[in-house]
Amino acid sequence: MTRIDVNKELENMKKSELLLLAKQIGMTGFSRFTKIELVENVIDFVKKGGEKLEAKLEEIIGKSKAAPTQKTRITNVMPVAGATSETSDKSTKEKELTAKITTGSKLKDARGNKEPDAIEDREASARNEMEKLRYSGTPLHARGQLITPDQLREIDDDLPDLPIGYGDNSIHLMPRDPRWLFCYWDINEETRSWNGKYSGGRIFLRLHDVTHISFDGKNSWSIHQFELNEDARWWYLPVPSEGRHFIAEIGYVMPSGHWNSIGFTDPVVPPPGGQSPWVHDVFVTIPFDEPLPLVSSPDRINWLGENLPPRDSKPQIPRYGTPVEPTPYYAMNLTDSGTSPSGVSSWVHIHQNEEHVSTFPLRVDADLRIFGGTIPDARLEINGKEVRLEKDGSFTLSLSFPDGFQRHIVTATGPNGEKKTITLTFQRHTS
Amino acid sequence: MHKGYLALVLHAHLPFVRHPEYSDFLEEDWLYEAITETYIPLLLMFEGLENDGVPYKFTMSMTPPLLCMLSDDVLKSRYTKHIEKLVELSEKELIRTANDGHMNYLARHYNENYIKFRDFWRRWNGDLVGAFRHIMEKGNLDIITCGATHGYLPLMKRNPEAVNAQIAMAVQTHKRLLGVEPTGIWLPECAFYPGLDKILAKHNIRYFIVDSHGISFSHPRPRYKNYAPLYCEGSGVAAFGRDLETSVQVWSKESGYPGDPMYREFYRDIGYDLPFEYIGPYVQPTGLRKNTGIKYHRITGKSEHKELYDPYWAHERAALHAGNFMHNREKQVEYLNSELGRKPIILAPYDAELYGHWWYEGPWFLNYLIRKVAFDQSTLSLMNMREYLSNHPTQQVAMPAESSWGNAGYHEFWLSDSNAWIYRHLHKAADRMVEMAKSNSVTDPLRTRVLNQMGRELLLAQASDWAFIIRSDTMVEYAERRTVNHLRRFTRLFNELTSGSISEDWLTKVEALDNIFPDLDYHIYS
Repeated sequence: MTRIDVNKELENMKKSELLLLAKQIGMTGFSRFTKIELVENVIDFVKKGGEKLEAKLEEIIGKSKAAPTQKTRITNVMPVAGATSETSDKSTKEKELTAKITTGSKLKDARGNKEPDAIEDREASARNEMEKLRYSGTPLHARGQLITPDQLREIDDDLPDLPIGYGDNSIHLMPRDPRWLFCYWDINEETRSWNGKYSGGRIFLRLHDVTHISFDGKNSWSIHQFELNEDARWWYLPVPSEGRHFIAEIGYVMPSGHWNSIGFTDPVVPPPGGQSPWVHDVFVTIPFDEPLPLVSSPDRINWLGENLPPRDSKPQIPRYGTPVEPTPYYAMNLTDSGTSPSGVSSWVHIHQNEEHVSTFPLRVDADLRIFGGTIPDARLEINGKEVRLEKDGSFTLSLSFPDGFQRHIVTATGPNGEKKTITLTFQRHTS
Repeated sequence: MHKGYLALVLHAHLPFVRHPEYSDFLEEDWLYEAITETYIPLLLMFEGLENDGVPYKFTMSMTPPLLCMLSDDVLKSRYTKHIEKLVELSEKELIRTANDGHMNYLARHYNENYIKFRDFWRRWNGDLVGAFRHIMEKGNLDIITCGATHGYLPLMKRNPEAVNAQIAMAVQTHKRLLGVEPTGIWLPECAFYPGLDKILAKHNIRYFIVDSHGISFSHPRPRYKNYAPLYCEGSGVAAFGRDLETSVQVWSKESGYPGDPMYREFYRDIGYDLPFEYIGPYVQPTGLRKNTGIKYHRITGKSEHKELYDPYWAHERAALHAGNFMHNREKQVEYLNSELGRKPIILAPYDAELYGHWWYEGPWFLNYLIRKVAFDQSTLSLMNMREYLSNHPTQQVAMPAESSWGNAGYHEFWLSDSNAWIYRHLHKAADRMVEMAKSNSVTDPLRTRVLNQMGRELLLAQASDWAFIIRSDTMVEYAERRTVNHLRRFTRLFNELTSGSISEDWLTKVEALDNIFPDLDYHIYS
């Protein structure tokens, strides 16, 4: 193939083919080239690349000639003749400016490379459709009935306003963010009266910490309470601490100190406001072209295997994972989030009932997980023992972590013999 | 070869604004402006990419209300008039500016563009959903769904059937209008709560997007930070996190690209600048002015003084910014690849309407970016979430954190002093809907129609847009009216159903007015 042949071949190619070709021969930086610029640059690039590249170019051209691309221009498959090419743009515009095309007239297909009759017919019918659409205008037909805009405007005329409340004696709690809960209620006059509104009772909202317990109305870990006024219908409650579950309760405190409960909300977990203290790397493979494994089975163990601890209502010491920092605990700052609690909170009590504490198990333990990464072909040792590297060069070692002092020396040796050492020390003290 | 992925995601959404009860309704302009400035330019961009055989991957979410509006005959016929009037106005501008070289050049720019857009509209017979579908079927553009009416799901959580209906109706609409079931979802406002993933799994939705702290605050901690998805514990649905660095570069009014002095100024529109006797026919029939879309100035600087715009230089700037964006992603990918020891996926999600409508040059930027990634570098490649999960099915199990991409990262913007009042009504309506759906296994066609319309009114009232607009303190009256009126219509239907005296005449009118989801079946609530 001579140089002139290549030139000609390139010029005969579509822009899409030239872009692909340029990528194939290893050019970069041509995203904004026009077709002519592409041809020039390909030739130039190949010239600089020497014989090897010339042969590759010829091979690519040969292949593309043997199997001409079947791709049609996207404009060819539209219901109406293509009008995106510059030529038809121009012709449209000229007609617009001079004669003002009547909407029914046919646009000539400037490219002339499709089945003209079919396209013109389709175009005409499409245009007729458009014409209908344009002037179908406002009255609507629905179920054989003619509906005028006036009638539609009257729809809401006789509708009563929304009620202030529904008086269904409900109370609801929603998290707003890690620091604030939003509570609203709808207590009717009869219920208020029955529960002490007119017998000296004061209405309060209580926030129970019900983390991991099956709440019986009395056994919460702690209660915060907020005095309301009778007209209040919603309240913002500050979140006492992160990672806990809460239930709100509304009721009256009687002069005798007796609590008349009206109702409880569902439990709510406020969103976390920081990183999880738990590290727990479990990876699973879920093929995308297969149905999700859990759709039919609520049993999560099925696909997670033994990797996750079972979940029940009791607090669990995780079998895997290591707490890497204390659970963040928000210092209650009531001013900086732009909201202040709707009432004054009073700390009612923390359960210190001996019996309660004694029946509640507390186990604390820790283990140690050392992990990191290096180049995949290095040799890694921890305390002189070789640790196998993953394909990506990462490694993990889990160790028990009883009270006392531990030192671990991590050494990596590169393929060229270069050594790197990092030493980690740990102290555990349980009190 | 490449060291990581960039996943561009555009969220195309507008609330259901369709007002056949008026001949001209300002809020419908949201749709018309988005069609002219965002959806058609994006479609033209995709067509160009396909025609030039550019290798790319891209994701768009198209919300059910948007799909329904783009398929609605009333709105389509109104847009036809709208674009014809824009062409007409741009022709008048050619004459008006004939003696001013620069202005005339700009007038030609608009005139040529509007004619091009109108031709596109005609070529597709007004069927933009079909146009998107056509691109989607080429295999590079993945279209995902959203909540049926963009309802804010964490604040609906106490009524799981209502959440389920938002997802069920979305999947059904996606399938009806785009022909395929969605594999992914853009959660409205990226708002997630643990447990929502199980409802998604029920509808075979495999992935969703959360804000970056949804991943970084996950439990347990994410091994690969924000640069790999997590499989939700218990459902296996994948959560991808938004990358903050990429979003700041585009979103930020101060340091983001769209604020460049060379770019077009949004707030100088001939709808406000020209004498009323001239512009009158193109603004509101009430005589109030509005944006026409023809804007002749560039941002220039912070002062009131604005220089004339030049699309040529704005194009060049968009190309420059695309190059800069790509360069930063290359560096980011290289760094992350060496730090994480695997190929990171950087997720860059944006509101679609930012591109073109707010940032006029946005579609040009995207076009340059996609082509540059294809032809000017080899460090990263474009990716969509579906293909990523197909190619990388092994991922960490963890529960993403409850979060949203709104102000402060949680629910505050949708649950504040100004809009918190709506929830007692929305919750009550949802409770009633579920109760009615469960207790009425009716065969009576009229009662079925009432129940179905109750579902439509509830869904329309739940749109997060209303709470958002009320809180933003713009167009408050309209948003409040929409919330309240859908709930009032719902309540009347509920009362008629329980009392047994149904006004078919009124029902027919409400069906004609709130005609979203013609195929809604109230059983989605039972």
